Amino acid sequence: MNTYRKFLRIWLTVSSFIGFIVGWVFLSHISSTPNGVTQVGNTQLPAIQAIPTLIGATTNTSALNNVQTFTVNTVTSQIQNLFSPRMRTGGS
Amino acid sequence: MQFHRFRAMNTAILLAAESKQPEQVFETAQKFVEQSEQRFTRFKETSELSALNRSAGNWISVSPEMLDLLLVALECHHATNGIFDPAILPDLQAAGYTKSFDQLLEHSADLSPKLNRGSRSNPFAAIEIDSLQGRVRLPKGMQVDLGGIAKGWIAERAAHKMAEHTSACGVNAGGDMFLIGHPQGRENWEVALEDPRNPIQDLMILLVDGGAVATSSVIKRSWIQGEIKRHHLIDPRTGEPAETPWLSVTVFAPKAALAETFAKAILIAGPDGADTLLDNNSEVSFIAVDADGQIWKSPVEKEVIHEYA
Repeated sequence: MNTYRKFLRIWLTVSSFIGFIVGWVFLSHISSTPNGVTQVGNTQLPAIQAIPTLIGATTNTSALNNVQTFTVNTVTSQIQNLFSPRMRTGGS
Repeated sequence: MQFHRFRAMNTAILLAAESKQPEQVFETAQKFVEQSEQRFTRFKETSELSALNRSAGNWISVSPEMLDLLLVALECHHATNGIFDPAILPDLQAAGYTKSFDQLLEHSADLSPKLNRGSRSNPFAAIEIDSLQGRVRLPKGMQVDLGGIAKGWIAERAAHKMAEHTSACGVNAGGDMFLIGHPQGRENWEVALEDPRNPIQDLMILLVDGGAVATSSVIKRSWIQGEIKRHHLIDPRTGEPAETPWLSVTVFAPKAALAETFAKAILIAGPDGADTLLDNNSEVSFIAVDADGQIWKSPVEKEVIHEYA
């Protein structure tokens, strides 16, 4: 009985060690690309433009190229008018 | 109060009506405005006004609407001592205002420094109107622009059409408006007076008891011709855009055409000539704003004008 226990311990230790070694070797040799996923061409993510600063947006002297300038207050005024129309006079 | 917005006559139109189902009211008014624009615009060859201008020197039959507007224009021409003059079109064109204002802004770089105006035409008083036969004869060389007065006339007519179906309504055509009745629960209409130095700001709120309100400004329709800043208010005495210390004049009157033409005339006449203009027109009152933001008012303040900051 004592001999049987001793044998069982040794067998479990050795088989665990061998299993660990085999698993480690197996995992280190498989491809890094997961199954079912393939790389298509040289696809690149679009470059994200920097968000333009609002500094100078109320003037026509914006230093930003290809960015349409606008007047922040005018937009605000239009939104206000949308919710509460009021008769307004100022010439046309 | 229900509101409806659309764009016509090169400006924003705001209709207001005290009605639970205003769609029909708004539709009728919008249709009238759009049809009238086609009739009175000088920017379309097919308009009745263009046909009238082409006929200068000869009699031409006109529609009842055109006849009515020309009679009103003649009356206002006399009432403003000739300062309101629809026959300044050649001067306006010489100053560069040759196409609709939206297009003018797009092509302002193409404007020649000064177009040759040619010989001076007759004042509008020289027009011949045969009301009985519905025909008109412009003297040879006279060209007429009905832009501002037509806008007021259309606003007033459209408001009266809406008033057939509602107790209170108003039509605001780019700042020229005609108001009927009062909004529910109110004793008057609130009209914001735009600051001509900064159009996104209001100077004050005017409490208006119906009738017509119109503003003329040297700021809004202005452009660069060559290197000279121009605006659309021509002084018929010089044939040039008026030189005036006032940036805008707002007039209150019982009729829209009267308000529109007096706003123009008072702005052109300036502080020195405004009193004379009002001498024989007691139903007209005004508020003017100068470049420093100072407010000028009629010598005798009318009851229709109230204000708070």
